[in-house]
Amino acid sequence: MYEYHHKTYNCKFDAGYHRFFRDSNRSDLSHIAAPVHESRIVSTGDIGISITHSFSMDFGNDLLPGVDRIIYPIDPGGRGAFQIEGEGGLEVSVSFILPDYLSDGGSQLPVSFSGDYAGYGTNPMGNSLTLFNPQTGLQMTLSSMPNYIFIGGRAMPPSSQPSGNYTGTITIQVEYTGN
Amino acid sequence: MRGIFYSLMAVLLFVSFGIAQEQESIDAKATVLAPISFPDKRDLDFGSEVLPGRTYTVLPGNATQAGRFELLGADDKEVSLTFSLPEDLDGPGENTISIIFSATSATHATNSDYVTGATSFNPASGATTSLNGSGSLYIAIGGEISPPSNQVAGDYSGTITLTVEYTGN
Repeated sequence: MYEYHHKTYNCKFDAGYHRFFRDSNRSDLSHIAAPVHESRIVSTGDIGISITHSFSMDFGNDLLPGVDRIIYPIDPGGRGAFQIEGEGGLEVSVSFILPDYLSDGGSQLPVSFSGDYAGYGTNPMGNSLTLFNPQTGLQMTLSSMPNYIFIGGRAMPPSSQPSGNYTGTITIQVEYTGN
Repeated sequence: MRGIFYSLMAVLLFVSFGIAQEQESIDAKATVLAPISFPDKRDLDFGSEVLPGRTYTVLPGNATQAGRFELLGADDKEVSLTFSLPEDLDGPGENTISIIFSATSATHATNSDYVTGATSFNPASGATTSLNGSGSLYIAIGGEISPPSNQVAGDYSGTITLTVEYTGN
């Protein structure tokens, strides 16, 4: 009878050549040159999404209590970055899971991402970005070239903010819309 | 039958493409420097023997009577200094004594003796300066009172509030 096969491909992304290496018959891809990022793509075809070359966002090492620090997506220093590759011409939805606070394990540092604190484009240097609000996300059409999303934000330490090193997690989710 | 199958596969493929999803996380980091604190302070004191009909002036350099604020924060960072000043000192009943602050009634200094290299400023206007290389700053404030000859005897007091904020520079 007819059977429908749903395959799972293990893929590794080689940053040096921007190519996918795929082997549906092997689970061991250790023969491939050292990968920068590994992702699992579940698909019935060749369409997948990979997010690589991610860079942390850094508000800096000299925030002062009572003084806000803003990082814009067009600012090379401090902004977070994601490189996204997928099927050019297809629409994806981009959403973020954003922290309300950064933490040093005890104290919390308020942060905000409400505003044009994210931008996307195809220039790896972040030139000519289209800005959007990461709180609301957006739908965009993937380019056949690598797509880049940059994110900034605002840190708002109150005047009583204890000194320390604060961290939080920014998660991006990219999903085909079917359009 | 085969046509139905291909149609079904097409639907299945479309649905599968529609849910292809990837997720990735990065850190957001920040290092916050020391908040401003006041390790030490001292009241502005015109003394316990103020006589009606005379004027008493305390200069900010007065080692025993000037009000003092010792600040501690982040090394070399700029701060703004803003005073909230009383117009009167409140005494027994409804009695008050006016207090005056002049253009040189306050000083800020980076030396712990509050005097060496001190810069005068009008506390009513405030000032902007920088903490020293150890994150310290020393603020002194004086003032002047002239109780009239019929001033009712008693203890008089008011509140001087200093607000210090980083400017971001």
